[in-house]
Amino acid sequence: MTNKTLSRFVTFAQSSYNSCAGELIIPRMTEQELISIRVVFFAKARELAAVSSITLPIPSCTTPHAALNNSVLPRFPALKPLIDHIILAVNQSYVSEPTRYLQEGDELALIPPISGG
Amino acid sequence: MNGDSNPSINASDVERYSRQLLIPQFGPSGQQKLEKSRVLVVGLGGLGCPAALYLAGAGVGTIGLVDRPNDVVEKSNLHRQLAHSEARIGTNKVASAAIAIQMLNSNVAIEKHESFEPKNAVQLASSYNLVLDCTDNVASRYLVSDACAVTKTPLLSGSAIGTDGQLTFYCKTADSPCYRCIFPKPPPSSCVGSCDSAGVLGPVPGVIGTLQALEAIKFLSCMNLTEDLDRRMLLFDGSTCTFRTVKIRSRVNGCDMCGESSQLEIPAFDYEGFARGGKSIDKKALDVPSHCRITPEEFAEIRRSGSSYKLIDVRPSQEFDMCHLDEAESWPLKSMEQSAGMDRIAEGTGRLIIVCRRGNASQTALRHFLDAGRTNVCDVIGGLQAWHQVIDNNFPLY
Repeated sequence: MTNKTLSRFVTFAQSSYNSCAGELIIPRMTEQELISIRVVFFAKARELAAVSSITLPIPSCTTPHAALNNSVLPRFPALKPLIDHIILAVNQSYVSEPTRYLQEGDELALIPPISGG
Repeated sequence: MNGDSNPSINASDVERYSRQLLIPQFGPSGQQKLEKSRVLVVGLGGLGCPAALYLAGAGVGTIGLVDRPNDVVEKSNLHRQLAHSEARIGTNKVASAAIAIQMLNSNVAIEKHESFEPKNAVQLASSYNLVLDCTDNVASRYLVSDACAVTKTPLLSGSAIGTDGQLTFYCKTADSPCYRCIFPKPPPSSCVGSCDSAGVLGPVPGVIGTLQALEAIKFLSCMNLTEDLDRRMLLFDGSTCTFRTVKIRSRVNGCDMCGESSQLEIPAFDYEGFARGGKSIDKKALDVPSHCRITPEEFAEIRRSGSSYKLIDVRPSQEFDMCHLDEAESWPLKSMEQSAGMDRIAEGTGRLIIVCRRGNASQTALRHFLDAGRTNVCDVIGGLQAWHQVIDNNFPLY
């Protein structure tokens, strides 16, 4: 993919939220492809979400962080105070920067620190 | 005693440790290494009790014990803190645990310490081969990790609450993360329960503390098994009896503690305040003059005016590839900081504007330019995130 295509996809994934079609987008897309990911909540995140895991449809070409902010958080607003303090893992591997897009069937795990002992 | 190549164990110890000596990867040489080892257990609660007892049972030579000076055994501890006893309610926990260890294995040398505080943490950590974090609060976790990071002492960090537990190695090798690398910002207090407030099923810290001892024994006896918990975190969900591990990141170059430009002074750092306020530390190292920083509005005005400038985007290249301002030139901070990059840095005299994701890396880059004697250079406050918020919400926010 060219850089321009990539940036268009990122903007496009965002567009489901802030409804900004985006000047950077060249062709305007009318239908968006959805993929299914599994979101797994650990410890306090499980408590705040009141569920241990769910399957969630998200727009394709979404980074893990964008999925967290744009798909998981609106559905589970109680997670907000925790969100800057978690380990985010895709398929059992930590992700720090948005370097990849989620794929169909990926597992996104929200792992907050535990401090008790 | 003979050397490692031909170790021998005295008759009494052969009997005592026979069941672990029979493990081929452990054997007599592993036993001798354990006997020469010094381990510090910080916290003698639900994690520290099983961890210290198993280490003592296995024959670790010296076990250091430390907890808060005023932490005494309470009745509500006894469902999980099995080194203590009804008879020792009201006794200092270090003293109580020392009695239990001594009763289990009198060969073990016990070192009792009064406190683990910013003023003595480094000295304490440096005198042990391995530290076990068995503490029960956020401030102590940062302090233990900082002391281990600065002294390069491997740290096995366990935690447990409710029906959940976690366990990982920090600071094990030069590439291993410290606690701050993984959790740079402390969670708000509303999101961190304590066992006192949120409850805990006794066997949950029992499981984690026991695994802490297992990992410690493997590490200290140099069993050299192919995989350990370095850069892996074990997650235990006692509610479904499920164990999982996730790969966690390597050391962070910009980490406030173990990063290359860390300025954190442990004795002067307010750990309690940090844990309470959830604030990040003040990065004094940056110290860029305020007249060299422009707001997104000012940058937008410069763009509109048509005056000439060069825009340098210092984010990593993959982020630049995801989205960037049209006129931006990619010069990732990382490559700028390599020697070839530093040679280039003072070139030219035209106006330079630096931008990054959130306005932090751009300050570091700005500092490099100023230090190289470059003038007519500034950075954008708040970076592209602020650009999105203030100027152009069509620009991707990620």
